[in-house]
Amino acid sequence: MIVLTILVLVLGFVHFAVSTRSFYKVVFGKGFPSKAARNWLHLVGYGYLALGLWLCYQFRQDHVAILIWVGLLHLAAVLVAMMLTYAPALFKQSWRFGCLGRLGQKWLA
Amino acid sequence: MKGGLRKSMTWLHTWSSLIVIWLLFAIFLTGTTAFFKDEITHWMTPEQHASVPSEHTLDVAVERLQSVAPFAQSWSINLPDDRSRTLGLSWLGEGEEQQRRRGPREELDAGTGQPIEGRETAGGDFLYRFHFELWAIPRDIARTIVGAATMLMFIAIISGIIMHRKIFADFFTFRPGKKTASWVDAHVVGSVLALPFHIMITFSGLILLAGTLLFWQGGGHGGGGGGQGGQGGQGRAPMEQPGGPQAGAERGGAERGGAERGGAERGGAERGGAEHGGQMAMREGAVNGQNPEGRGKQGGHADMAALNEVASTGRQGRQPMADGAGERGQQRVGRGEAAGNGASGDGIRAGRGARAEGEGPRGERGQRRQAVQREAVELDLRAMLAVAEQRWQQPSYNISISKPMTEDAQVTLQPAHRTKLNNGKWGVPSMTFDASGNVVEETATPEADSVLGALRGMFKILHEAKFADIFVRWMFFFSGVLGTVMVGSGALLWSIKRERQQAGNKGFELVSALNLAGVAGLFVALATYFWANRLLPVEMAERRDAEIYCFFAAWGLCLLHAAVLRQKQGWLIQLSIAAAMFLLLPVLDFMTSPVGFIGAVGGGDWMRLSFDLVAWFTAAGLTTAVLHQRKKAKQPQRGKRKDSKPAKPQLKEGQA
Repeated sequence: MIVLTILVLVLGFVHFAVSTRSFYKVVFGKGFPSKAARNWLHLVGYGYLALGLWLCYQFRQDHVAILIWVGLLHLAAVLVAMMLTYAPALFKQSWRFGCLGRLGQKWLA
Repeated sequence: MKGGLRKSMTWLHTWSSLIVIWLLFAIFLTGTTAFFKDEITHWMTPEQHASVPSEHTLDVAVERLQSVAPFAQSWSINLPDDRSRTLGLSWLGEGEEQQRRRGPREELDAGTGQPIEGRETAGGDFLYRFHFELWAIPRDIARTIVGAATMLMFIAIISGIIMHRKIFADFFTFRPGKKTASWVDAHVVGSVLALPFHIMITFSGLILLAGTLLFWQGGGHGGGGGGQGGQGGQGRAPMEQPGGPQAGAERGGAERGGAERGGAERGGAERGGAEHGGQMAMREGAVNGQNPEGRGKQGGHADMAALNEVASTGRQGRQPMADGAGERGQQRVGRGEAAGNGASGDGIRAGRGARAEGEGPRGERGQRRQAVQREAVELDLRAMLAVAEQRWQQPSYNISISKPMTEDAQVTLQPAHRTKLNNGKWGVPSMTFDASGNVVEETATPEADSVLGALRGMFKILHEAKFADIFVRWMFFFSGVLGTVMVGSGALLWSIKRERQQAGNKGFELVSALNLAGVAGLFVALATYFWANRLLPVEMAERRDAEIYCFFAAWGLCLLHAAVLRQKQGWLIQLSIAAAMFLLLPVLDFMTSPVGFIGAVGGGDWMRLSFDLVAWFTAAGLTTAVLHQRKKAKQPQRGKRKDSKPAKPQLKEGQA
């Protein structure tokens, strides 16, 4: 359950990373996200983070679940930062195979 | 502080943190290790390594107490749990008054029941105390210093958020090999990615030490205990049973090297005093079927009846075990029988075993009582533990038995830790059974008296991670590591940015030397502390203090080295020493512990193995830093500009 939660949170942060100018290029090679694309990616990203919170609540059914969620957010954010630095190919793969944000094709490049 | 808001915040961020940054680094590093202080103490007591808890641990405990203290007023058993692998026993002898840390107590091998004579060590408790009380400084002054540093840290965090122009755009950015930009990124990654933790830990630390900064308040001794527990008279958590030989202030109370071992000068005795009164009152009250707090009591008739039904079911289910050989499932406790065991008196530790029956006036009383055979009393402790575990969803840690081996015996169980953040400032629930296994009282976790008290309690529990299971504890540790990276990279960033303009300047050189000793030197000191634990003779007098002296001696040498020879590859030398020491620490561990690597894996001693793994991770991090320094050393040196007037640093807006 914990591993699954970390995975979901990582995918959530991948959406946020793709919504920035510098990391948009990692996935699409060129260009930058439009405002509509940024909003779409943020929306889906928040959805993933909310799903992560729900999973944490399944793991620990009291208010400590929120604390676990915040702690896992730290871990997931560091993982995404390290992935972008040392394994950008893995970052692209995770976008390609794990991110529902791809469904918003009309806003993305 | 001229210019726009961001420029002012940049100035504030830089200087509010710089003046205490080395202290903050030490606080963050030692505070991060303090999340695992019990585990560190376990590692630093190799005599405990052979102890492997088993299903018979409870039987071992009861047999031992029957043997050494059959006529005690009360027994206390601290069972092994996920943060302790030994069995802690203590008892209150007949006619004796309760005194904190003075009564007889033993630490036993949880598998064999053999007493453990652990070496005298400051253990993880030293690191824990250092992070809010420093060392060799009067307690109030030390807490005031740490409180002021915490306040400056909080200012630095807030100003750092405001000054950062592109906080979201740079959220995941880390660019290695870009000189200054890499350090900025490391600082930002360490701070922004774990910002909620940094705000929480700093603000809660500030709340805990707030009293030290409010000089006009009466009473002094401010701070309400920092990491300690309570304010006078209210008592610490009942889980801090005086009978806990196991290290760990919040659970055992019998800190290694506390008042008995010279810890009194460090405040152990002071802390014990007022707090203990409340604690004992509560504990005794619970044992005697009272509710000393007058609150938080549960147990209406229906509730109690349901619990008793569960207890009854448990007893019935376990009856066959009791009938089996060796009475493993059910402890048969009878005065006559136990007195016979006690008379042997073997295995009682010197200085603690003066209660051996058959000696002196007490022995005579014991013999008289021995003649009066009472009806044997059976205590089905396993059934009681099962009921309590079902109730609390966590195993019990402490078992207190009043009037043991009589039909008036009462058994009070308490879990190891709090499970919620709103449990109030202190306290864990308890459940009291009579000798028949019926629940006679259930005490809920005490709640705070007011909203402010509840808030303070929440911050305290959060800061000390007292509610945390092992997983949450690791998350806190990870976030603490990020905080340490944040402070360390911030310290280095200051000098790296100003290297070209200010090299040779006295202020710059002072900061550079303090950076070297404060960051790399602290790692050397920490490694030295662990090495000293294993290399100092076990029988050495004042051994606990000697370990601490080694820590500060190593740190002092690093400071001296930084002051004199920092230009000559100072970072490379100190980081290399620290990396080598941490790398070899697990080797030292397996060479000097009675249990080798295979034995530790086989025995499931993950507390110890985790320590060794973290030592290797630390070594890996330090080695990376060494390689970075070597690469930097090979690059052509930038010329110093001693003759030129130091240029005023021109910081860009939005940078640290």
